[in-house]
Amino acid sequence: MASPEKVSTFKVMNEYLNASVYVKLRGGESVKGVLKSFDQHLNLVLDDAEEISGKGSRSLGTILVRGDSVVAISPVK
Amino acid sequence: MPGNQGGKVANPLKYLKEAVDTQIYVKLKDGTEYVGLLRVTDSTMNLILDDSVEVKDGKQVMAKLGRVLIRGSMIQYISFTPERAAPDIVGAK
Repeated sequence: MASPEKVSTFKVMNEYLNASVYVKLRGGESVKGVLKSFDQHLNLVLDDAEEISGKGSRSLGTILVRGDSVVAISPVK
Repeated sequence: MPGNQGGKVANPLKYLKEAVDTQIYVKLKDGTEYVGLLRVTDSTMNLILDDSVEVKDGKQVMAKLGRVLIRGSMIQYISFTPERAAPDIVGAK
């Protein structure tokens, strides 16, 4: 029997490709940018990234975020 | 920069490989920041940077280091566009 559309973390991440995401990092910082790539470690490549911290925000351009410092990823409209 | 090649998305470490021999900005988990020329990278994201400088808030040069090996597990993020992450440093070098 065909199972109903199953949700997987991988599928959800794929839906976020080329969309704007907000990524919360360990240590209280977060970054926002367009998701271009990811892997099984949750290493991410973000385009037009911006770092958001208590001090305000700062432009970073294209960045690679190491997966082990990722706390949460959320799409932004 | 690689991107979508034949509909397939290049994985993040491939982006890093493509950045060899270009200048990058690296932020570590302890808050330390480096700008330098990426020479070597491996599958654990270890980096060797040449002509590197330690910077603060993407602005101030704290130290000139020359060659430095950065352990992959200490990295928080890497910017392939240091002219945007640390404009004062890259412009002045």
